[in-house]
Amino acid sequence: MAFLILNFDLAEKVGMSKVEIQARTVDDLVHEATSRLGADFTEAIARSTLVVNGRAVSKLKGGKTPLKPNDSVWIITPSGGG
Amino acid sequence: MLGGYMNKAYDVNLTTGEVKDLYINQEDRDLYLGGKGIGVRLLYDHTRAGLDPYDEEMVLIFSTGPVTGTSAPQSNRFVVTTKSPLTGAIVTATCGGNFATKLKKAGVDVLLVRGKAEKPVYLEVTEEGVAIKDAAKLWGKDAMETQDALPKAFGKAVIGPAGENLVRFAAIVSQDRVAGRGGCGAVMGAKKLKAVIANGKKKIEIMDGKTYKAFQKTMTKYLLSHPMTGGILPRLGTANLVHTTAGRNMIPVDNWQRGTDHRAVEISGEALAARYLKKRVGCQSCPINCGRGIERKGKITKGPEYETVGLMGANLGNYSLPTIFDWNELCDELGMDTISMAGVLGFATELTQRGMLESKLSFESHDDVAQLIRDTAHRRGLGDDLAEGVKRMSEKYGGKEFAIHVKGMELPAYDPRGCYGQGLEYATTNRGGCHVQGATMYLEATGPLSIDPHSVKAKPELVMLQQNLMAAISSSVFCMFSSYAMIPSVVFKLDPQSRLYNLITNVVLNSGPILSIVLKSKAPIPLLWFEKFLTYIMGKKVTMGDFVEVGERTFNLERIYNIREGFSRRDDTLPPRLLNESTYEGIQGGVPLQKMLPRYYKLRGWDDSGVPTRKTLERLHIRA
Repeated sequence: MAFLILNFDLAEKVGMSKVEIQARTVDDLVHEATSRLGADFTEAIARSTLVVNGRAVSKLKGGKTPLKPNDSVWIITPSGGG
Repeated sequence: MLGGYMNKAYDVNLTTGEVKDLYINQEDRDLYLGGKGIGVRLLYDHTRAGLDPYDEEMVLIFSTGPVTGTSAPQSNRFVVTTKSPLTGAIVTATCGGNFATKLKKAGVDVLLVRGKAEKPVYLEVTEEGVAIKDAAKLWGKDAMETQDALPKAFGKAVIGPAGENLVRFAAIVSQDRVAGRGGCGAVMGAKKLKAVIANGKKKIEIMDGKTYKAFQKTMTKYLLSHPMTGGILPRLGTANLVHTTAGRNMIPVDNWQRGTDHRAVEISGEALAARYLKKRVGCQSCPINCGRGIERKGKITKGPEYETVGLMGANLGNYSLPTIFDWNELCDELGMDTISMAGVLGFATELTQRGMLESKLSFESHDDVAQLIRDTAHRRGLGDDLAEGVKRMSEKYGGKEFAIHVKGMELPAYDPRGCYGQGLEYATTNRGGCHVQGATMYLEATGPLSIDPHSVKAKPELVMLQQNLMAAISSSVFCMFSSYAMIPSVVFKLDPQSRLYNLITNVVLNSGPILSIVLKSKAPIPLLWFEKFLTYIMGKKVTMGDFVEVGERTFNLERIYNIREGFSRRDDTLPPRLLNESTYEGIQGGVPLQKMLPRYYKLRGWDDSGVPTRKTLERLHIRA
């Protein structure tokens, strides 16, 4: 099982911030999360970066990036400040 | 005559009570502009090598710049410059609040304070001059009480008990904004200077008022329409960073033992906005309003910034926003830097965890933290050790391998193992472990373009460019946050999974050779709004090349000051934990600093030991 960590707004809508998902790749995880969380999830990942264990999937194998048990997947957006 | 300047500076000697005019020659003003640049120049010229920060001869400089007090967006800031009691290096700290504009309107560009008063005093700056006044009734009051006790019409810069008790990371407070880093408040305390207040109605001359006014409107509109300065920052405050840094494995957890924790969602900017935000707050003349007004105990009070959330939150194993609010407020009242306070608490907690220190601190419960913060400000018990900062604590108790500081300054909440350029920036920034004198992490990890945080390509070039730019911004004095709008809005609309996005990031990543040419060129036109505002206000053409060169010059003079104080290449490093331990699967070790440092020195025009060459000093017209 990999873990999908939702941002606060989405977590409030679905009632949890850490979702356990059975998935072999990032594409599988996105597919499964879309079917479980619906349009809110689709909206959240639009123009967002998917990150596996801290590394952007675009710098790994994209949607084909394999997932292992306890891998952590975050959806992040641009941020700044300090 | 240039616009933007009041053409008045004072030299106040607290030992003798003498107040003199301070002469700043036109050449230095041309070369260093104001704010940080002039502060650094004056510190270098008015102190001798090896002077203790608490010595009576040490100077503390309050400086404004040509844009301070105008209505240009984000221009209500002053800079404090001195030698840091925390690091022994130069420190410049910038601050919003209500002091900067009032000092300028009192007709003053720069206030240099030297000497040591016998009894507590405060300085009252008006159009008539500077008066040294008795502060006996203020001594012992916290920073907010002190401001309340002083005349309402005046802008104020004050210290709390931490400054009085020489806590090495004591801050200077103006309203609820803070010149936090490096212990400027302790230097004030050593001088028995409780506050500086200013008031006046003098007009700040703007040479091309018509063009300035039109441009001011255009820029305000631009900043408000930009996704970062008009969207993310006002909506979520700087704590918008929490989710991203936690996701990228670069938020410090349990004294930098890890880089993420899913509970960070509970202390994110989104959580803060949804549960506690009552009001967006901004500094005078700033359209961004990134400050947070939260409701606490029936009143609207200041919410924490990202650094405070990251370090008083995840770094201490604390995922409760109300607790962070309390500690943040306490630090402001006591007049202490939240970054260093949280850094030293994290270090002491790990010492305790390892059995190297006897205390009740733990990453699981936090009952004693508030009392320890108070004890630190008053130097009581363990608080007396905490008041010395991480470096000195590690010298006393051990644990240097997990003592998280650079040149003695505790690091802000970006783990450079997830942004290598930021690691190079920490290692080379003149005041030590600081993020606001470059903010490279925005380009490589947190911003709309992520140009591979784990590559060293182009990082030396980007770090140098950012450091020069930030030094120029702080010499003007603008707030660095408007620089976030330098990346065009359209980039925020790109899909990070798209080919175009990857193409752009790869182009930037491979742009080192081009960037190095850009760094050497003196672009003969104004490209950014900073130069345009300066041009309209001062009535003198300022190009992009001129502007960035002010920053480069200032940065190099800071470096020369530090070398004079005994700093060398060996100090351009990172804590062993961040160099040696990985927090990422499949990556061995930490930040590959040595792969970046030689290239960075070469770009800077420094020799192999990190000393600016004669040729570099001549090119930049630096008198040393």
